[in-house]
Amino acid sequence: MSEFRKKIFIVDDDPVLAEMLKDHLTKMTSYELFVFDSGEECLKNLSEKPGIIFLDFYLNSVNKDALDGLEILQEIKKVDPEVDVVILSGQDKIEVAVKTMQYGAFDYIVKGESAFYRAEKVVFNIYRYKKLQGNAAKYKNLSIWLAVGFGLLVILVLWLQLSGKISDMPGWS
Amino acid sequence: MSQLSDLTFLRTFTGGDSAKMTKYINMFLSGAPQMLTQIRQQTDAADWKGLKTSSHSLKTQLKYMGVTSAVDLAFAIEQQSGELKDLDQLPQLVIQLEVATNTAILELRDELTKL
Repeated sequence: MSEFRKKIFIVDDDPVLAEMLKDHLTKMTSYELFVFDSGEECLKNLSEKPGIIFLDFYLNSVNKDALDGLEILQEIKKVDPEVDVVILSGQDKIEVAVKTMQYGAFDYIVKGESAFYRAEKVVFNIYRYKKLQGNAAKYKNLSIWLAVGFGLLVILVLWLQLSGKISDMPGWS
Repeated sequence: MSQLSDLTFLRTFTGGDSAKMTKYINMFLSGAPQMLTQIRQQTDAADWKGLKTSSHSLKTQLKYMGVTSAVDLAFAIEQQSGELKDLDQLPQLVIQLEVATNTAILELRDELTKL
């Protein structure tokens, strides 16, 4: 299992929303927050191994040549498939949300007054999901070791039986 | 004339923290005039795709400053420029958006002195 990542990137060219979201998540979670105003800057810093990225759908409202959110999402997933990306958008359209999910987004948040509370919930959900994933991996490893141990025990008993070393034991023939 | 801006959300969001409210309002005040200039240039150049994106971005900031009437205008501009519908109405809508946003800017500057 990979180590738990405690960094969140906020990628949005709207400085007001980015600052408000950063302040809110700093207050409500124990993650370390980083803000980038372009997808390109986010890509340059992926080596920091963020656990969650909040990514604006429109990243080219200020710089027209900047890559948009969907393009950045695909680049992020190519470089780091493990990071959970949450799309932020002012568009309350189901088809846009579905499209982002198809590209690998974990969730989709509509920008508005409730966006900050939704973001906090999503962080909590991702944390729980990762914890469950970690537990599942631990149990999987444990069951593999138990199966291997049981297999070795059976082999040992068979060997002891075949070599006649336990043939006299009660219950064994 | 009644206030166009309403800081109820910002007040709730910050828990009445005037330093944070001041920070967010100042960020809006420094960015909004540039966004309006961009919207004006895109309208004059008939850059509908750019206008859609810019009005969309301004709309979000206006929401947090509680400027509902300007949010509605920005939304209409975003929709019409995105769907290339009623394009002849856009210059008028942009003028209304400029007036509403500039009025809200003056109000918010005044609010800052009271925080």
